[in-house]
Amino acid sequence: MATRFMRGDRHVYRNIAGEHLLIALHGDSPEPLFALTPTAAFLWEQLNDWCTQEELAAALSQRFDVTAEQAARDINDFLAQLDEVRALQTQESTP
Amino acid sequence: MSCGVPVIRGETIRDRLMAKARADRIPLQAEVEIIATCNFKCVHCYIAPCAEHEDRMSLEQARVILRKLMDAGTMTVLLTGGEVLTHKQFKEIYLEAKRCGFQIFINTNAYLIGERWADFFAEWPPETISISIYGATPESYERLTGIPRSYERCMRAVDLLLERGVPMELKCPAMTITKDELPLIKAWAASKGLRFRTDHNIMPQEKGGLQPLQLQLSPEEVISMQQRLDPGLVEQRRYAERRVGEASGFVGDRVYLCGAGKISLAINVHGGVTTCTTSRKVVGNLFEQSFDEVWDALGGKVAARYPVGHPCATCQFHGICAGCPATVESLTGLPTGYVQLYCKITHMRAYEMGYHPTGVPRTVTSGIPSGIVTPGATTARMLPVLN
Ligand code: SF4
Repeated sequence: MATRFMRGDRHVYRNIAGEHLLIALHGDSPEPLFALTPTAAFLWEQLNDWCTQEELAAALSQRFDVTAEQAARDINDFLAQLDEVRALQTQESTP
Repeated sequence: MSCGVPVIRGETIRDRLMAKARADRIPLQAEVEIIATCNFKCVHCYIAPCAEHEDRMSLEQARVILRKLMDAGTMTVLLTGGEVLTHKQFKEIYLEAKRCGFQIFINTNAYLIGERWADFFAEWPPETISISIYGATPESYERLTGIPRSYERCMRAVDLLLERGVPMELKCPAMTITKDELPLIKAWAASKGLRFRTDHNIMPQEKGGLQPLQLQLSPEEVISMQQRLDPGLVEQRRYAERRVGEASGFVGDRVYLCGAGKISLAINVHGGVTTCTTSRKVVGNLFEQSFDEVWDALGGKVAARYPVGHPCATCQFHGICAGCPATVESLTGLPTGYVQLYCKITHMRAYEMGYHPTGVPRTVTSGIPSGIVTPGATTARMLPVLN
Protein backbone atom coordinates (compact mmCIF):
# COMPACT_ATOMS: atom_id res chain seq x y z
CA MET A 1 0.00 0.00 0.00
CA ALA A 2 1.37 3.43 -0.93
CA THR A 3 -0.05 6.67 0.33
CA ARG A 4 -0.63 9.25 -2.33
CA PHE A 5 -1.31 12.93 -1.88
CA MET A 6 -2.95 15.70 -3.80
CA ARG A 7 -3.74 19.28 -2.87
CA GLY A 8 -7.34 19.95 -1.85
CA ASP A 9 -9.71 22.53 -3.28
CA ARG A 10 -10.25 24.47 -0.05
CA HIS A 11 -7.30 26.79 -0.73
CA VAL A 12 -6.03 28.77 -3.67
CA TYR A 13 -2.37 29.46 -4.37
CA ARG A 14 -1.31 32.89 -5.56
CA ASN A 15 2.02 34.52 -6.19
CA ILE A 16 1.59 38.20 -5.42
CA ALA A 17 4.52 40.59 -5.46
CA GLY A 18 6.87 37.61 -5.17
CA GLU A 19 5.12 36.24 -2.08
CA HIS A 20 3.79 32.68 -2.27
CA LEU A 21 0.37 32.71 -0.66
CA LEU A 22 -2.14 30.02 0.18
CA ILE A 23 -5.54 31.60 0.53
CA ALA A 24 -8.30 29.80 2.42
CA LEU A 25 -11.68 29.77 0.71
CA HIS A 26 -13.78 28.68 3.67
CA GLY A 27 -14.70 29.98 7.10
CA ASP A 28 -13.39 26.96 9.02
CA SER A 29 -9.73 27.68 8.22
CA PRO A 30 -7.54 28.59 11.22
CA GLU A 31 -6.18 31.55 9.20
CA PRO A 32 -7.45 33.20 6.03
CA LEU A 33 -3.96 33.37 4.59
CA PHE A 34 -0.75 31.36 4.76
CA ALA A 35 2.66 32.19 3.37
CA LEU A 36 4.60 29.43 1.61
CA THR A 37 8.35 29.17 1.29
CA PRO A 38 9.61 28.87 -2.33
CA THR A 39 10.19 25.14 -1.86
CA ALA A 40 6.71 24.68 -0.42
CA ALA A 41 5.29 26.57 -3.40
CA PHE A 42 7.16 24.17 -5.68
CA LEU A 43 5.70 21.17 -3.84
CA TRP A 44 2.20 22.70 -3.95
CA GLU A 45 2.59 22.83 -7.73
CA GLN A 46 3.64 19.13 -7.76
CA LEU A 47 0.56 18.30 -5.68
CA ASN A 48 -1.59 19.32 -8.61
CA ASP A 49 -1.88 15.59 -9.26
CA TRP A 50 -1.73 12.51 -7.02
CA CYS A 51 1.83 11.68 -6.00
CA THR A 52 3.71 9.77 -3.35
CA GLN A 53 6.14 11.17 -0.80
CA GLU A 54 8.99 9.55 -2.72
CA GLU A 55 7.96 11.21 -5.96
CA LEU A 56 7.80 14.56 -4.19
CA ALA A 57 11.24 14.01 -2.67
CA ALA A 58 12.71 13.10 -6.05
CA ALA A 59 11.23 16.21 -7.64
CA LEU A 60 12.45 18.40 -4.79
CA SER A 61 16.03 17.12 -4.81
CA GLN A 62 16.13 17.39 -8.59
CA ARG A 63 14.97 21.00 -8.52
CA PHE A 64 16.75 22.26 -5.37
CA ASP A 65 20.11 21.61 -3.86
CA VAL A 66 18.94 19.28 -1.11
CA THR A 67 19.81 15.75 -0.08
CA ALA A 68 17.24 12.94 -0.35
CA GLU A 69 17.12 12.61 3.47
CA GLN A 70 16.60 16.31 4.01
CA ALA A 71 13.95 16.38 1.28
CA ALA A 72 12.10 13.43 2.84
CA ARG A 73 12.10 15.09 6.27
CA ASP A 74 10.92 18.44 4.93
CA ILE A 75 8.20 16.86 2.85
CA ASN A 76 6.94 14.90 5.79
CA ASP A 77 6.62 18.11 7.84
CA PHE A 78 5.09 20.01 4.98
CA LEU A 79 2.43 17.39 4.28
CA ALA A 80 1.56 17.25 7.98
CA GLN A 81 1.09 21.02 8.02
CA LEU A 82 -1.04 20.96 4.89
CA ASP A 83 -3.12 18.20 6.43
CA GLU A 84 -3.57 20.24 9.60
CA VAL A 85 -5.00 23.20 7.68
CA ARG A 86 -7.17 20.84 5.60
CA ALA A 87 -5.35 21.65 2.36
CA LEU A 88 -4.46 18.05 1.51
CA GLN A 89 -6.25 14.99 0.16
CA THR A 90 -4.88 11.53 0.91
CA GLN A 91 -5.40 8.23 -0.87
CA GLU A 92 -4.18 4.71 -0.11
CA SER A 93 -3.39 2.72 -3.22
CA THR A 94 -1.96 -0.68 -4.04
CA PRO A 95 1.10 -0.40 -6.25
CA MET B 1 16.36 25.24 2.86
CA SER B 2 13.05 24.14 4.31
CA CYS B 3 9.44 23.80 3.34
CA GLY B 4 6.45 24.73 5.40
CA VAL B 5 3.27 26.67 5.66
CA PRO B 6 4.19 29.45 8.04
CA VAL B 7 1.13 30.90 9.69
CA ILE B 8 1.88 34.56 9.19
CA ARG B 9 -0.72 36.93 10.54
CA GLY B 10 -2.75 38.65 7.86
CA GLU B 11 -1.54 42.14 8.80
CA THR B 12 2.12 41.14 8.69
CA ILE B 13 1.92 39.72 5.21
CA ARG B 14 -0.28 42.58 4.08
CA ASP B 15 2.27 45.14 5.35
CA ARG B 16 5.02 43.28 3.52
CA LEU B 17 2.99 43.12 0.33
CA MET B 18 2.04 46.76 0.64
CA ALA B 19 5.70 47.78 0.85
CA LYS B 20 6.56 45.70 -2.23
CA ALA B 21 3.51 46.95 -4.11
CA ARG B 22 4.42 50.57 -3.39
CA ALA B 23 7.98 49.99 -4.54
CA ASP B 24 6.99 48.17 -7.75
CA ARG B 25 3.63 49.89 -8.45
CA ILE B 26 1.57 46.72 -8.18
CA PRO B 27 -2.24 47.23 -8.18
CA LEU B 28 -2.79 45.37 -4.93
CA GLN B 29 -6.28 46.78 -4.27
CA ALA B 30 -9.23 47.18 -6.63
CA GLU B 31 -12.74 48.51 -6.13
CA VAL B 32 -15.19 46.94 -8.56
CA GLU B 33 -18.65 48.38 -9.03
CA ILE B 34 -20.78 45.49 -10.24
CA ILE B 35 -24.13 47.29 -10.23
CA ALA B 36 -25.09 50.95 -10.10
CA THR B 37 -28.76 50.58 -9.12
CA CYS B 38 -30.02 50.05 -5.59
CA ASN B 39 -33.09 48.89 -3.66
CA PHE B 40 -32.88 51.98 -1.41
CA LYS B 41 -33.65 55.58 -2.36
CA CYS B 42 -31.06 57.34 -0.20
CA VAL B 43 -31.17 61.09 -0.52
CA HIS B 44 -27.39 61.53 -0.46
CA CYS B 45 -26.48 58.84 -3.02
CA TYR B 46 -24.14 59.82 -5.84
CA ILE B 47 -24.72 56.80 -8.06
CA ALA B 48 -28.06 54.98 -7.83
CA PRO B 49 -30.53 57.86 -8.41
CA CYS B 50 -29.20 58.39 -11.93
CA ALA B 51 -28.50 54.73 -12.76
CA GLU B 52 -30.40 52.70 -15.36
CA HIS B 53 -31.34 49.03 -15.21
CA GLU B 54 -28.53 48.11 -17.63
CA ASP B 55 -25.86 49.76 -15.48
CA ARG B 56 -24.54 46.46 -14.17
CA MET B 57 -21.65 44.19 -14.99
CA SER B 58 -22.55 40.79 -16.42
CA LEU B 59 -20.95 37.65 -15.02
CA GLU B 60 -18.88 37.36 -18.21
CA GLN B 61 -17.70 40.94 -17.93
CA ALA B 62 -16.88 40.46 -14.25
CA ARG B 63 -14.81 37.41 -15.22
CA VAL B 64 -12.82 39.50 -17.69
CA ILE B 65 -12.10 42.11 -15.03
CA LEU B 66 -11.20 39.58 -12.34
CA ARG B 67 -8.88 37.73 -14.70
CA LYS B 68 -7.06 40.93 -15.63
CA LEU B 69 -6.75 41.97 -11.99
CA MET B 70 -5.46 38.55 -11.03
CA ASP B 71 -2.78 38.64 -13.71
CA ALA B 72 -1.81 42.15 -12.60
CA GLY B 73 -1.22 40.99 -9.01
CA THR B 74 -4.31 42.38 -7.29
CA MET B 75 -4.92 40.91 -3.88
CA THR B 76 -8.02 42.61 -2.48
CA VAL B 77 -11.22 43.33 -4.35
CA LEU B 78 -14.03 45.47 -3.00
CA LEU B 79 -17.36 44.54 -4.57
CA THR B 80 -19.52 47.61 -4.45
CA GLY B 81 -22.53 49.31 -6.02
CA GLY B 82 -25.31 50.38 -5.97
CA GLU B 83 -26.51 47.49 -3.88
CA VAL B 84 -24.44 44.42 -4.77
CA LEU B 85 -26.92 41.89 -3.39
CA THR B 86 -29.57 43.04 -5.88
CA HIS B 87 -27.30 41.82 -8.69
CA LYS B 88 -28.91 38.60 -9.93
CA GLN B 89 -25.51 36.97 -10.37
CA PHE B 90 -23.86 38.31 -7.23
CA LYS B 91 -23.22 34.83 -5.87
CA GLU B 92 -21.54 33.67 -9.07
CA ILE B 93 -19.39 36.80 -9.29
CA TYR B 94 -18.45 36.52 -5.63
CA LEU B 95 -17.51 32.84 -5.89
CA GLU B 96 -15.55 33.50 -9.04
CA ALA B 97 -13.59 36.17 -7.17
CA LYS B 98 -13.08 33.82 -4.21
CA ARG B 99 -11.81 31.02 -6.43
CA CYS B 100 -9.42 33.43 -8.12
CA GLY B 101 -7.89 33.86 -4.66
CA PHE B 102 -8.87 37.47 -4.00
CA GLN B 103 -9.48 38.73 -0.52
CA ILE B 104 -12.93 40.21 -0.85
CA PHE B 105 -14.56 43.21 0.77
CA ILE B 106 -18.26 43.92 0.27
CA ASN B 107 -20.26 47.12 0.58
CA THR B 108 -23.96 46.51 1.24
CA ASN B 109 -27.00 48.04 2.91
CA ALA B 110 -27.74 44.49 4.19
CA TYR B 111 -31.46 44.75 3.42
CA LEU B 112 -31.41 41.39 1.59
CA ILE B 113 -29.29 39.53 4.14
CA GLY B 114 -31.47 36.88 5.76
CA GLU B 115 -30.55 33.40 7.05
CA ARG B 116 -29.53 32.10 3.62
CA TRP B 117 -27.07 34.88 2.77
CA ALA B 118 -25.73 34.83 6.33
CA ASP B 119 -25.08 31.07 6.06
CA PHE B 120 -23.47 31.58 2.68
CA PHE B 121 -21.09 34.26 3.99
CA ALA B 122 -20.26 32.08 6.99
CA GLU B 123 -19.23 29.27 4.65
CA TRP B 124 -17.45 31.52 2.15
CA PRO B 125 -16.33 34.45 4.32
CA PRO B 126 -15.27 37.78 2.87
CA GLU B 127 -12.51 39.80 4.53
CA THR B 128 -15.14 42.27 5.70
CA ILE B 129 -18.74 43.12 4.96
CA SER B 130 -19.14 46.84 5.31
CA ILE B 131 -22.73 47.69 6.21
CA SER B 132 -24.21 51.15 5.83
CA ILE B 133 -26.30 52.21 8.81
CA TYR B 134 -28.52 55.18 8.09
CA GLY B 135 -29.99 56.12 11.45
CA ALA B 136 -30.39 55.13 15.08
CA THR B 137 -34.17 54.74 14.95
CA PRO B 138 -36.58 53.25 12.39
CA GLU B 139 -38.02 56.73 11.72
CA SER B 140 -34.74 58.49 10.96
CA TYR B 141 -33.33 55.47 9.13
CA GLU B 142 -36.30 55.08 6.84
CA ARG B 143 -36.66 58.82 6.26
CA LEU B 144 -33.21 58.63 4.68
CA THR B 145 -33.54 55.34 2.79
CA GLY B 146 -37.17 55.79 1.74
CA ILE B 147 -37.81 52.07 2.32
CA PRO B 148 -40.25 50.72 4.93
CA ARG B 149 -38.80 48.13 7.36
CA SER B 150 -35.29 48.81 6.12
CA TYR B 151 -34.13 49.58 9.69
CA GLU B 152 -35.53 46.35 11.11
CA ARG B 153 -34.08 44.27 8.28
CA CYS B 154 -30.65 45.83 8.58
CA MET B 155 -30.56 45.25 12.36
CA ARG B 156 -31.54 41.62 11.83
CA ALA B 157 -28.84 41.18 9.18
CA VAL B 158 -26.19 42.52 11.57
CA ASP B 159 -27.30 40.01 14.22
CA LEU B 160 -27.39 37.10 11.76
CA LEU B 161 -23.85 37.84 10.56
CA LEU B 162 -22.60 38.37 14.11
CA GLU B 163 -24.05 35.03 15.25
CA ARG B 164 -22.08 33.35 12.48
CA GLY B 165 -18.85 35.24 13.08
CA VAL B 166 -18.79 36.87 9.65
CA PRO B 167 -16.28 39.78 9.72
CA MET B 168 -18.15 43.04 9.52
CA GLU B 169 -17.88 46.79 10.06
CA LEU B 170 -20.51 49.53 10.17
CA LYS B 171 -20.45 52.94 8.59
CA CYS B 172 -22.70 55.96 8.23
CA PRO B 173 -22.25 59.10 6.16
CA ALA B 174 -22.06 62.26 8.29
CA MET B 175 -24.61 64.72 6.97
CA THR B 176 -27.08 67.31 8.21
CA ILE B 177 -29.71 64.59 8.68
CA THR B 178 -27.48 62.00 10.41
CA LYS B 179 -25.05 64.07 12.48
CA ASP B 180 -27.06 64.07 15.69
CA GLU B 181 -27.43 60.29 15.68
CA LEU B 182 -23.83 59.39 14.87
CA PRO B 183 -22.75 59.10 18.54
CA LEU B 184 -25.68 56.74 19.18
CA ILE B 185 -24.81 54.63 16.12
CA LYS B 186 -21.15 54.53 17.15
CA ALA B 187 -22.08 53.43 20.67
CA TRP B 188 -24.41 50.77 19.29
CA ALA B 189 -21.64 49.47 17.01
CA ALA B 190 -19.25 49.36 19.99
CA SER B 191 -21.83 47.45 22.03
CA LYS B 192 -21.78 44.81 19.28
CA GLY B 193 -17.97 44.81 19.19
CA LEU B 194 -17.95 46.27 15.68
CA ARG B 195 -15.74 48.89 14.09
CA PHE B 196 -17.56 52.05 13.05
CA ARG B 197 -16.51 54.73 10.61
CA THR B 198 -18.02 57.83 9.11
CA ASP B 199 -17.19 60.18 6.28
CA HIS B 200 -18.34 63.79 6.01
CA ASN B 201 -17.71 64.43 2.31
CA ILE B 202 -20.89 64.35 0.25
CA MET B 203 -20.49 64.08 -3.51
CA PRO B 204 -22.70 65.35 -6.36
CA GLN B 205 -24.56 62.70 -8.34
CA GLU B 206 -22.61 60.91 -11.05
CA LYS B 207 -24.56 62.61 -13.83
CA GLY B 208 -24.24 66.06 -12.31
CA GLY B 209 -27.23 66.34 -9.95
CA LEU B 210 -26.24 68.60 -7.07
CA GLN B 211 -29.05 67.77 -4.60
CA PRO B 212 -26.88 65.65 -2.27
CA LEU B 213 -24.64 68.65 -1.59
CA GLN B 214 -27.42 70.25 0.43
CA LEU B 215 -26.73 67.60 3.07
CA GLN B 216 -23.04 68.51 3.40
CA LEU B 217 -22.03 69.59 6.91
CA SER B 218 -20.47 73.01 7.39
CA PRO B 219 -16.93 73.17 8.87
CA GLU B 220 -18.34 74.06 12.31
CA GLU B 221 -20.75 71.11 12.15
CA VAL B 222 -17.98 68.71 11.08
CA ILE B 223 -15.76 69.74 13.99
CA SER B 224 -18.58 69.57 16.51
CA MET B 225 -19.60 66.13 15.20
CA GLN B 226 -16.00 64.90 15.38
CA GLN B 227 -15.61 66.23 18.92
CA ARG B 228 -18.67 64.24 19.96
CA LEU B 229 -17.42 61.05 18.30
CA ASP B 230 -13.83 61.48 19.39
CA PRO B 231 -13.69 63.72 22.49
CA GLY B 232 -10.50 65.77 22.50
CA LEU B 233 -9.87 64.50 18.94
CA VAL B 234 -7.60 61.84 20.42
CA GLU B 235 -7.80 59.49 17.43
CA GLN B 236 -7.47 62.34 14.95
CA ARG B 237 -4.40 63.58 16.78
CA ARG B 238 -2.80 60.15 16.64
CA TYR B 239 -3.40 60.10 12.89
CA ALA B 240 -2.15 63.68 12.44
CA GLU B 241 1.09 63.21 14.38
CA ARG B 242 2.84 61.50 11.50
CA ARG B 243 1.22 63.51 8.74
CA VAL B 244 1.59 67.19 9.60
CA GLY B 245 4.53 69.43 8.76
CA GLU B 246 7.56 69.35 6.43
CA ALA B 247 9.17 66.32 8.09
CA SER B 248 6.09 64.17 7.43
CA GLY B 249 6.87 63.91 3.72
CA PHE B 250 3.30 64.94 2.86
CA VAL B 251 4.06 68.59 2.16
CA GLY B 252 4.77 69.42 -1.47
CA ASP B 253 3.25 69.76 -4.89
CA ARG B 254 2.28 66.08 -5.32
CA VAL B 255 -1.49 66.07 -5.79
CA TYR B 256 -2.19 62.40 -4.98
CA LEU B 257 -0.88 61.35 -1.58
CA CYS B 258 -2.99 58.18 -1.47
CA GLY B 259 -2.40 54.82 -3.15
CA ALA B 260 -4.57 55.55 -6.20
CA GLY B 261 -2.78 54.64 -9.42
CA LYS B 262 0.16 53.32 -7.38
CA ILE B 263 -1.34 50.36 -5.55
CA SER B 264 -5.05 50.78 -6.23
CA LEU B 265 -7.72 51.51 -8.81
CA ALA B 266 -11.48 51.41 -9.28
CA ILE B 267 -13.55 49.92 -12.10
CA ASN B 268 -17.12 50.96 -12.85
CA VAL B 269 -19.96 48.83 -14.22
CA HIS B 270 -18.94 49.63 -17.80
CA GLY B 271 -15.30 48.67 -17.30
CA GLY B 272 -14.21 52.30 -16.93
CA VAL B 273 -11.17 52.78 -14.72
CA THR B 274 -10.83 55.62 -12.21
CA THR B 275 -8.55 56.39 -9.29
CA CYS B 276 -11.23 55.30 -6.78
CA THR B 277 -15.03 55.08 -6.66
CA THR B 278 -15.25 58.75 -5.60
CA SER B 279 -13.74 59.81 -8.91
CA ARG B 280 -16.09 59.44 -11.89
CA LYS B 281 -13.54 60.46 -14.55
CA VAL B 282 -12.40 57.36 -16.40
CA VAL B 283 -8.89 57.11 -17.82
CA GLY B 284 -9.46 53.93 -19.84
CA ASN B 285 -11.60 50.83 -20.16
CA LEU B 286 -10.73 47.31 -19.05
CA PHE B 287 -13.36 45.73 -21.31
CA GLU B 288 -11.57 47.19 -24.31
CA GLN B 289 -7.95 47.80 -23.36
CA SER B 290 -5.13 45.83 -21.83
CA PHE B 291 -4.50 46.25 -18.12
CA ASP B 292 -1.06 47.75 -18.73
CA GLU B 293 -2.45 50.39 -21.05
CA VAL B 294 -5.07 51.50 -18.51
CA TRP B 295 -2.68 51.27 -15.56
CA ASP B 296 -0.20 53.49 -17.43
CA ALA B 297 -2.92 56.05 -18.07
CA LEU B 298 -3.86 56.02 -14.38
CA GLY B 299 -0.19 56.38 -13.44
CA GLY B 300 -0.04 59.45 -15.65
CA LYS B 301 -3.05 60.95 -13.94
CA VAL B 302 -1.78 60.47 -10.40
CA ALA B 303 1.63 61.90 -11.26
CA ALA B 304 -0.06 65.33 -11.36
CA ARG B 305 1.62 68.28 -9.61
CA TYR B 306 -0.03 71.43 -8.31
CA PRO B 307 0.68 74.55 -10.31
CA VAL B 308 2.96 77.13 -8.70
CA GLY B 309 1.03 79.28 -6.26
CA HIS B 310 -1.64 76.65 -5.54
CA PRO B 311 -2.53 76.84 -1.82
CA CYS B 312 -2.22 73.06 -1.35
CA ALA B 313 1.32 72.90 -2.77
CA THR B 314 2.88 74.42 0.33
CA CYS B 315 0.26 73.47 2.91
CA GLN B 316 1.46 71.93 6.18
CA PHE B 317 -1.84 70.09 6.50
CA HIS B 318 -1.92 68.41 3.10
CA GLY B 319 -1.50 65.02 4.79
CA ILE B 320 -4.61 65.47 6.94
CA CYS B 321 -6.73 67.45 4.51
CA ALA B 322 -10.49 66.88 4.70
CA GLY B 323 -10.56 66.77 0.91
CA CYS B 324 -8.63 64.70 -1.56
CA PRO B 325 -8.02 64.96 -5.32
CA ALA B 326 -11.11 62.83 -6.04
CA THR B 327 -13.50 64.88 -3.91
CA VAL B 328 -11.97 68.09 -5.28
CA GLU B 329 -12.38 66.72 -8.81
CA SER B 330 -16.05 65.96 -8.11
CA LEU B 331 -16.70 69.56 -7.08
CA THR B 332 -14.42 71.48 -9.44
CA GLY B 333 -13.90 69.12 -12.39
CA LEU B 334 -10.14 68.90 -11.73
CA PRO B 335 -8.07 67.03 -9.12
CA THR B 336 -5.88 70.14 -9.00
CA GLY B 337 -8.83 72.42 -8.19
CA TYR B 338 -9.38 73.99 -4.79
CA VAL B 339 -12.37 73.66 -2.44
CA GLN B 340 -12.38 76.15 0.41
CA LEU B 341 -14.87 74.06 2.37
CA TYR B 342 -12.28 71.29 2.82
CA CYS B 343 -9.63 73.84 3.62
CA LYS B 344 -11.75 75.40 6.35
CA ILE B 345 -12.58 72.03 7.91
CA THR B 346 -8.91 71.07 7.90
CA HIS B 347 -7.68 74.34 9.41
CA MET B 348 -10.38 74.33 12.06
CA ARG B 349 -9.44 70.79 12.99
CA ALA B 350 -5.74 71.74 12.99
CA TYR B 351 -6.60 74.61 15.34
CA GLU B 352 -8.50 72.25 17.67
CA MET B 353 -5.46 69.97 17.76
CA GLY B 354 -3.07 72.85 18.45
CA TYR B 355 -1.36 72.82 15.05
CA HIS B 356 -2.66 76.16 13.78
CA PRO B 357 -2.94 79.49 15.63
CA THR B 358 -6.29 80.67 14.25
CA GLY B 359 -8.00 77.86 12.32
CA VAL B 360 -8.50 80.22 9.39
CA PRO B 361 -6.87 79.34 6.06
CA ARG B 362 -4.75 81.82 4.16
CA THR B 363 -7.24 81.88 1.30
CA VAL B 364 -9.85 83.39 3.60
CA THR B 365 -7.62 86.29 4.62
CA SER B 366 -5.69 86.80 1.37
CA GLY B 367 -8.06 85.33 -1.23
CA ILE B 368 -7.71 82.36 -3.57
CA PRO B 369 -4.88 82.92 -6.07
CA SER B 370 -6.10 83.62 -9.59
CA GLY B 371 -6.01 80.76 -12.07
CA ILE B 372 -6.96 78.13 -9.47
CA VAL B 373 -10.14 76.26 -10.40
CA THR B 374 -12.84 76.34 -7.71
CA PRO B 375 -16.40 74.92 -7.63
CA GLY B 376 -18.67 76.51 -10.25
CA ALA B 377 -21.27 79.02 -9.11
CA THR B 378 -24.14 76.52 -8.97
CA THR B 379 -22.09 73.97 -7.02
CA ALA B 380 -20.73 76.64 -4.69
CA ARG B 381 -24.26 77.83 -3.89
CA MET B 382 -25.10 74.32 -2.64
CA LEU B 383 -22.11 74.10 -0.32
CA PRO B 384 -22.76 75.27 3.24
CA VAL B 385 -19.54 77.22 3.58
CA LEU B 386 -20.65 79.77 1.00
CA ASN B 387 -24.27 80.01 2.07
S1 SF4 C 1 -7.38 72.37 0.80
FE1 SF4 C 1 -6.40 73.68 2.34
S2 SF4 C 1 -5.95 72.27 4.03
FE2 SF4 C 1 -6.34 71.01 2.24
S3 SF4 C 1 -4.30 70.70 1.36
FE3 SF4 C 1 -5.21 72.45 0.30
S4 SF4 C 1 -4.45 74.25 1.43
FE4 SF4 C 1 -4.15 72.44 2.76
